[in-house]
Amino acid sequence: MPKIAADNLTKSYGGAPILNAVSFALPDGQWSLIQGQSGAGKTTLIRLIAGLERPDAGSIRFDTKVVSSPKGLIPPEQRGIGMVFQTIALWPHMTVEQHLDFVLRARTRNRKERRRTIHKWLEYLHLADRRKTLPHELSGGEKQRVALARAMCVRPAILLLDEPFTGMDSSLRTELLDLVYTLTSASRSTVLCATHHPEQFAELPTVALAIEAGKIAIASPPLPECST
Amino acid sequence: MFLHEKPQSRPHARPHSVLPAVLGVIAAVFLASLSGCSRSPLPEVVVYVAHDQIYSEPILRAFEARTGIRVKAAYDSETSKTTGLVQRLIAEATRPQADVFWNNEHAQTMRLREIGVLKKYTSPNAKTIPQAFKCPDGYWAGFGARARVIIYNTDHVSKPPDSVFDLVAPEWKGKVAIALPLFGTTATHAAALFEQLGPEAAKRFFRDLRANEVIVATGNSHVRDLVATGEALVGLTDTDDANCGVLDGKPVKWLFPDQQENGYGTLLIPNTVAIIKDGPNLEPAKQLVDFLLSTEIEIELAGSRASQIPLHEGLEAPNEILRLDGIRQIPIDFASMAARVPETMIFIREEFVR
Amino acid sequence: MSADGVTTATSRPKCIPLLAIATIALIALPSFLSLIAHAAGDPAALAETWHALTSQERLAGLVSRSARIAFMSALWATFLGAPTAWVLCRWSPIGRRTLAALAVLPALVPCYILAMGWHGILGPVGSLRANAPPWVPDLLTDMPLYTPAGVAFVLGCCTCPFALVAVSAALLTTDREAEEAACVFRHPVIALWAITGKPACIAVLGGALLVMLVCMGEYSVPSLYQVNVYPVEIHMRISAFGDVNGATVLSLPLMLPAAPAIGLLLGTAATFRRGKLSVTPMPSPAPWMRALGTAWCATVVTFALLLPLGTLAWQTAALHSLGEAIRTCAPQITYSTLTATATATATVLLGFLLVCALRNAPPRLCLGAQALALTALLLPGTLHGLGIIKLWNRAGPCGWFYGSPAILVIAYLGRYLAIALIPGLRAARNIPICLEEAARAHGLSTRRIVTGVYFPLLRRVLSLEWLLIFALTVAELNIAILLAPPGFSTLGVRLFTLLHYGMNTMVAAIALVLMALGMGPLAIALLIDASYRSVRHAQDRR
Repeated sequence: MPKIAADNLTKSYGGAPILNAVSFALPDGQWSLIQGQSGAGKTTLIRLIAGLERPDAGSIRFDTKVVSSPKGLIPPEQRGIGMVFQTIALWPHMTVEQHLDFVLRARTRNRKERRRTIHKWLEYLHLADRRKTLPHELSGGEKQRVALARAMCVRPAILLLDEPFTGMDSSLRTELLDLVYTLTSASRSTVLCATHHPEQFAELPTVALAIEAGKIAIASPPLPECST
Repeated sequence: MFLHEKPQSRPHARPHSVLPAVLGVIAAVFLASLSGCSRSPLPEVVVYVAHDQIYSEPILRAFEARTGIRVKAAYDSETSKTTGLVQRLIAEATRPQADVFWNNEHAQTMRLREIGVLKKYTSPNAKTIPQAFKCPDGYWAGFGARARVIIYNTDHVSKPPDSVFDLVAPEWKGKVAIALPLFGTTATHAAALFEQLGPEAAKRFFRDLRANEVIVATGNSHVRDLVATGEALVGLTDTDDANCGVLDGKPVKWLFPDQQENGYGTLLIPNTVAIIKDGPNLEPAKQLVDFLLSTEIEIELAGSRASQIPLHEGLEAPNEILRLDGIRQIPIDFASMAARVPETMIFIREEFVR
Repeated sequence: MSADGVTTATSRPKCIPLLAIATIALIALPSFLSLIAHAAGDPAALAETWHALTSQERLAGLVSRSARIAFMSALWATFLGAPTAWVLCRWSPIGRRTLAALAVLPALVPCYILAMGWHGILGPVGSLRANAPPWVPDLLTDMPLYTPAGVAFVLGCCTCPFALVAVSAALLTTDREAEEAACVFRHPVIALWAITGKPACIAVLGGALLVMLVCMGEYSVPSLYQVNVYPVEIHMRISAFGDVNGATVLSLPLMLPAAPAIGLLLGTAATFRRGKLSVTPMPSPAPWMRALGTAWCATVVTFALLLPLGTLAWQTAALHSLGEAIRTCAPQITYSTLTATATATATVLLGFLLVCALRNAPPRLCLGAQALALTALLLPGTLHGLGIIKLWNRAGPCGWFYGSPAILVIAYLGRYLAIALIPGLRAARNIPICLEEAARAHGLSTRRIVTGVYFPLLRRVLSLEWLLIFALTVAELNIAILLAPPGFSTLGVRLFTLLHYGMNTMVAAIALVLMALGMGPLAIALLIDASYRSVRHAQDRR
């Protein structure tokens, strides 16, 4: 059973089609990459899956449930997702610690549990000594890690990553990628990652979707439910 | 370890916060305390007072102390520049908030009578007030009058004018001060002149005043201050303002104008008091009206800095107070004077407000 | 479109912005509409009133005079405010923060209080006339205050903060790095003009337009100086002639032309919608710039604030006068403070909720909402008060509030809603949409997003709105006279009651107390902010 499936998904902006009746199915518990040139529609697809955009036609399903269609939309906060934005989107008035606490409070009122979770995730992403720091005092790489921690600490069933490693040097990128892959594999989260540098993920077992001219082509491995 | 915990497909049920409920309770309590839901159990009377607060407030406090009725008063502000209590009474006519209106003149009170805002009530204490100073139908009664007087600077003026009409003389060019004749007792005086002299003669008088470079002040007190500082040498004001200047030791004196044998006389403007129709507290209102129309209050107003002129006939009072029978009055009917007010105001506005 | 160029989500109900606009209309418009309905109840009389009013030459003359005074005020305010903004933003004068705070303060002081101060300097028996040293030119000592020029002078001093804030907003949101890049290739003056010139000019024009709008409706200063202008005529029509319908008709020409002007103003402000405060530090200015800038700012602050207030303080003569003023007006001080606190809190809270509802609305809808809110602000206060009486003075739940102090809060809520809405909306639309989307993507409800994301980010703007509404409410007069229940008199009413007796020591003392009451919370807020900054600075150093 595919975790995320899209049927004839269409989205246009100002009359120009970005996605043109695309269909795909992404396996549960695995990594999938969306690759394409800048402006191809990677971010749009991510946003559609997140529920931040409504499709003009077609539908998106999580398991068997339709979550997005032109007539109905389950709000993002009810989809059980985590997301790293292309712009990172850290809240400028919150410290690193407060970012995690803020999203965890929607899950549990138990302060001790939240503190434990925050501590562990900050340790994992090497942010423990930056816990009281505001976003404008962080480096680019640190901001990315905070965004990752924020998205992953809620243990989402689906993790959406929009250019998560942009602006990082190769060693940091490699280290972080390994870490995120390990963590998501262990928790069996379904991960969809938009990138225009697919070579960065060459060593990871992933399903690749290539977007071009509003169409999607599945690279490898092909799935029975998919159609191009 | 949490790494191997199953991913959450849905977030937990959101925990409820009591904060909105608490805020709501606080807001409700606050609004309830501000609102009129809780009314005082004690008897009370609501009075709108256009008379000067420094004179009227002690009298209202005395009424409170004597009767135990709580007085809630709304005072007027600078009458020449604001809507004033009269407009408030008219606007509230369908559901009055006030019980009593204490005005410092009669023209606006008569206007309220015409509109139907007042309730008929003849106080037993009004019996000895001359008919000229109360409503024939019993809707209002006058007490504690002021006179329109000429005030002059004693340092610079040895022979003051003894008639209002002398103020247009060339010797007083640029040295006469009056309040804007569009409001208050000055407006009443203007209407009286229109009635007494006729419209054309009155208009000529005011045009001559303007040509004589009359100084237009913000109010009667301001006229007094201008004369006291020498910026104007003579002025037209009320007895209470003039008397305050004398009592404060300023270099001013005042006189009743036009007191000669064939003179036009001095205009007397009474305080007026009336009950508001359908007001919430009728009985306390009647008690307040009776109190204000009592001879005791008249003597108190006469003896105060306001130096009001008692209207009760046969009043036994200290000799130093002003007496009605010692003043030659303008022989004028208030009703006909009130009828002149609209055309007077239109002319004054055209002439003085440019 | 969001800040990163991606279209925002359309999953939120579209009715929320419409509901917000309906709420604004329900709060801001009814008083005016009730007056219109009352006036229109007799169409024949209304037509006759309109014809009688519009055929009078003196009315046309009054409109012309009001416009001239407004124009002169705008010129003077721009002359004072625009260069001051440049100096504060670019030349880093000595004591910049203090000078900036003092330069903005006249906006919080009621115009009539500053006018009273100027009366004490340049009035007929002003101190400058009576005690001017020989070296002061006659041009100054003989300057007539009780003239349209005098009114424009005082109003310009009172409203220069509007020009200052408008130009400062443009300068602070200019791309400094773009300026520096241009300076690499061209002369600094040409480079500055190319990058900053256009937004600065738009800001200057916008500030001048705002000053003109404010001065067209300003009535307390011309009234005090016995200069008849159009708003004074409107008030006179009510107080002298009792003609509410005529006053309502007369107020329409004051409001209708303001509508497109406000639209233009808001549209101008929208051009700075995307601007972010530049964090690039200022290069150190040359010493002569600092000295000149400091002298200029000090001069402006002296003219706009210190001279008139200093005169009032001098007229108060002694501290015991202040003490006596406080003692005798203690009940009014209490009532004014309570009413202003309740008004500011309720208005800012409601404004914040409306901002959250309109935050993602289409620009035209936002402009419409702001224009609606401004209607109640433009309506003369007396008419607003009379409209409130007509609406609320009736049996039933409405009557519970009428006759209680709550009616004042209700009236002020409608009147000052624009102040709570417009700055907050501008600030909220500057917040990148991705911040809200990130919160929603991580499962946070709308309530949590409002309290956890928007409220902290808009805290400063909300605080400033609160302080401004507090200061305006404390000094408000026309509505308080009409609606304050008996026994509940405010300090502004008390001041004007005593002003009736002429300017004296007690009046000056009460004016100072009123001003201190209005500015007190701001002073406390600035002190708290300064101590917070020093603590934070000390922590960062460690």
